[in-house]
Amino acid sequence: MKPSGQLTEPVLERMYTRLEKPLYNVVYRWVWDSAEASDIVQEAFVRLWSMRARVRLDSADALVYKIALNLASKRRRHRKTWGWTLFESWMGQSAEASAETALSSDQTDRAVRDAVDALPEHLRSVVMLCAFSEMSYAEVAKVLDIPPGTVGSRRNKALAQLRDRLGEEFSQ
Amino acid sequence: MKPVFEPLKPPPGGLQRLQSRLRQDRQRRSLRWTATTAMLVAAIVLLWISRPSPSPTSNAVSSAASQTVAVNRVFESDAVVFYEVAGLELASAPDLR
Repeated sequence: MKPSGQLTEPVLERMYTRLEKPLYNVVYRWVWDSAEASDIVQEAFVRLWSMRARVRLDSADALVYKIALNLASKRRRHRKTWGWTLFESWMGQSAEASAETALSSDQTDRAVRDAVDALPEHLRSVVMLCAFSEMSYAEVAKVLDIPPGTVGSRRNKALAQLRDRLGEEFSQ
Repeated sequence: MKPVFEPLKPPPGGLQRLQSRLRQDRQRRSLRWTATTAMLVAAIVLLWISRPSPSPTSNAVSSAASQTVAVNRVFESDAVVFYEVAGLELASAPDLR
């Protein structure tokens, strides 16, 4: 059972320690850049902290996921608008090469990335939250403001699309 | 075969970075408070300094306390205006109508 009460600094720090890795993993699949994903996770917690007076602890996890997903989505859109992805590929895919914590080149399977990228946002968010957040369908539904039944169906749809694109390459 | 959902490790030092961002946020907020308070105090002082000085008439009127007051402008030059101020007893006041 999660604690209820005020969001204090020690509580926020414990929360960060608990959620940093799953959040990072979800966000990374949006921006495909280690530094940027880490920055988004930080920003999400800073924003949560700035609204602490209105935050209930039992809904803080869902809220920080929601903030992080919004930020990631915005950055992705911004990048698309300004053609940053093209710039990056022109620069020799610096994002993958430079970040020591990013997937190493043998792990970076372009096909996997393309397949995940090809998923529409509403499917990607469901499948990534189910894969990394350790949240139940009901909790994922709360983050995305959708009915719990929809989480299951979207997840299945997303997995089917990944399987279609990756074929033999696909494994969870 | 590459797993799609392979968990990655976030860069180290995340918690320390968050703590320093929160510290900066605290400092920024206290700076904002100080600046707002200083501006408020300055505004009050400025208003106090620039308040209109009471006119001789209103001085006279206020010094006449609760009496009914009659004010008569008696003399005026370029620099000075003289007023004659008298307190009136209502019972003994002449009919002004």
